[in-house]
Amino acid sequence: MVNEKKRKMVLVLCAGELDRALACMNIAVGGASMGMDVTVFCTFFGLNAIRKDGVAPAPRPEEEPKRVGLFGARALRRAFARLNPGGGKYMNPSRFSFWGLGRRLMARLMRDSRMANLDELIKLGSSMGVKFIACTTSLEALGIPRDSLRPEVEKFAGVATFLAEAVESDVQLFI
Amino acid sequence: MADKKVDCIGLYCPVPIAQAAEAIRAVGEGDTVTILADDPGVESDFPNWCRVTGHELVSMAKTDEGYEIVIRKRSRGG
Repeated sequence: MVNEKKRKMVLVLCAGELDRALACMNIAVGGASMGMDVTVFCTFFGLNAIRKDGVAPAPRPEEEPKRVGLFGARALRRAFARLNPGGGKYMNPSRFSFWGLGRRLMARLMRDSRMANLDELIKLGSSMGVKFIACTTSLEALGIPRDSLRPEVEKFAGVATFLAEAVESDVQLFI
Repeated sequence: MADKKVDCIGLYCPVPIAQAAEAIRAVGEGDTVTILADDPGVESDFPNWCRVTGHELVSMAKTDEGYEIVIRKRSRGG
């Protein structure tokens, strides 16, 4: 069973729910613990998992999209950014969200039972060699500036990067 | 043969296997790592972790606190 070739795993985190993000990072840490090369590709609201906590600062003018079709699009993007804070502290569970109360309860329950939270899992994974990639299209679409991402994010890329990793991987999961 | 102790009492998956992996990396070939854990998942996780990584599961015993698992680092790579 022991194969000298290093196994690879690629995970796509596509959704912004806390439970999905926790499961993703748990599997990533597990893979790294088993000697695998692990890549976590975050896209759409999955990006929230690898953002610093809170509302992203307004993008600098040079970071704004080149073509802004709609009048008032900039204001719309800012409003959206305000409604979509990032980081594990602001991610709601997929059930019992209760407008933010649920995530506080869940955080409390997890802390009391000494379960690792999202921040700890990402730090642990990164220290074990898990690579975090942010999807550039989603960053643009959601108006998330690159400097609001966590320092563990090492690469910005698109679908071809994911697919190149995926064809070489032994395990591919879409979460 | 040296032995390294890792106390994971009160910690949940995936922390015990992550700490075990770290400890195994730190010890020399043929040395052992003893893990104390009480997450019931370890009963299935450590045999599987060893099967994939190639390290030897020397023993797994139930204790009052949970489990005591002894792993020996394999002699090549790891």
